[in-house]
Amino acid sequence: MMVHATPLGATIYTALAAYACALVAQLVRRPRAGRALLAAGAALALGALAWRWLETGHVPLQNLFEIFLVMSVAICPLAWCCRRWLPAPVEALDPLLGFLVLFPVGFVFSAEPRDLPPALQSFLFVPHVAVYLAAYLLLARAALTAVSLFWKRKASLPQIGTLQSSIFNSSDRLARAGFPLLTAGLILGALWGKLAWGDYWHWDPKEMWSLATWLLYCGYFHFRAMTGARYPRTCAALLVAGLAAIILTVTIVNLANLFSGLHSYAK
Amino acid sequence: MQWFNLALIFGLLGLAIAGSFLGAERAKELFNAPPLWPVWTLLTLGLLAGFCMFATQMRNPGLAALHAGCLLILLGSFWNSHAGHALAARCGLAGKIPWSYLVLHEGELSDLLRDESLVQPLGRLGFGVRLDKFGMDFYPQRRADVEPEVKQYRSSVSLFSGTQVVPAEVSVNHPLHVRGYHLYQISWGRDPDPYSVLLVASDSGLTVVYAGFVLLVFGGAVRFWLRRKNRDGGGMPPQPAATAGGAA
Repeated sequence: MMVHATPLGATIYTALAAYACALVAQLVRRPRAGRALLAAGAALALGALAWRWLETGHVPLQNLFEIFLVMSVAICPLAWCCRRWLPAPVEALDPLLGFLVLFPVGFVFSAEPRDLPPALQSFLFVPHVAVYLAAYLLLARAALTAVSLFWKRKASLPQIGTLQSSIFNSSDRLARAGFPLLTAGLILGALWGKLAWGDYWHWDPKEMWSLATWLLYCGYFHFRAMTGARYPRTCAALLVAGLAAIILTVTIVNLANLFSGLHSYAK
Repeated sequence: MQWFNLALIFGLLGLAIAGSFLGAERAKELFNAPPLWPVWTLLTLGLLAGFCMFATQMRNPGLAALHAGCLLILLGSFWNSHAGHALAARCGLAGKIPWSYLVLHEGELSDLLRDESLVQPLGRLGFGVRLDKFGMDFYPQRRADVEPEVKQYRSSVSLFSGTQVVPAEVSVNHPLHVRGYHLYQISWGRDPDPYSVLLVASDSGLTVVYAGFVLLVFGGAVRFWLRRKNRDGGGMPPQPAATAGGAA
């Protein structure tokens, strides 16, 4: 646990507080206040991101501190999209996701600015990371939405026309939105690997976990296609397992010495 | 058949997770080992069978592209692998070396390809490469007590093919593509004169793999992003917007 006693850190903590307040506002059924606080939190996180960009002199997507900060900003457009396109947006999940993403930025990850090593200086750096971050956010939101289906509710077959059915469809729609981005991220990474390291697949632990994550979602879509809406618990479990695989891929694989590999510079 | 495919996906998932604990070198050995060839064969046949057994579903261009993409990646990867190169050589096709290294001191001209130890010779490249100059670029120093970080490694080379001499540069993320091989800036050293190590990778099968990549991205976007009248995989039509103020 660390505290960033800098103006950048103060901005991040204020954004974190705004997300926490937004979550409370949503839980006590004050959606407008919740949305305003979420937007304020994202604006503060955006300010922190701009500060970081100026400080490092490169697009802040190099290490965990920077990519989680970017994700915390992207929560706001994600929340707007969820409200716009999901049959049941479950709005409290947006500030919850924002808080969960921004918390490690404030208290876990090192904020030491680093120059980009030669391998990261590629035109594929930004698209590869950005596409992956968008996919991760959508799929994390899908998992949280699926879990909310069972929160305080007796798990049963979602009936057409009910809120349960809408939430079930929402989680699936989010997974459908995220999966092509996950695929694109994997492929952009492979193309970049070919340019930087000579091969599009290096059997590196990070790559193996990315493949495992992709296969998990492949399994989810095959299972959905086979069984329809008959097993909502299994579908939700697969989405949660997908989120667990994402968390492992993004954080643990980079941080744990157990998985040292070509992606170790992204700590 | 559907359950078999699902079992195959989760079997691969288990293998990928197991491979992540082995480290890159051992995972590469495991996944290229003959005991796993039946898995790749089964996966290839499963994808091919899918086109025949689920012909109706495969009329969906997105779904067809996704599965065809996976198939092409598998086939291209085999072609690009050591086993694929060995098979091509046995069949009298181009006898390329899939993965090797060129060690070049400044001013040295060589076409000798070596293995990972950089000592054992593997064969000849077919054209000569001379290292004219090896250099590094650095970032400005951030702090007085910290060494400046390296920004780029670059080798200025000349390619000798017959009477032709072509100057070129290899740097990290900017490989050279010459006569069926890619040349990468992979390492350097001093003994005591500076030398550069270039990785030489065969490009066999790459086009097939890249075609698979394109199909996967296209298929994913079409299958999951485009609206269709009868959305399968759920059987529940989109619902009118419902209000859900709280987490539950």
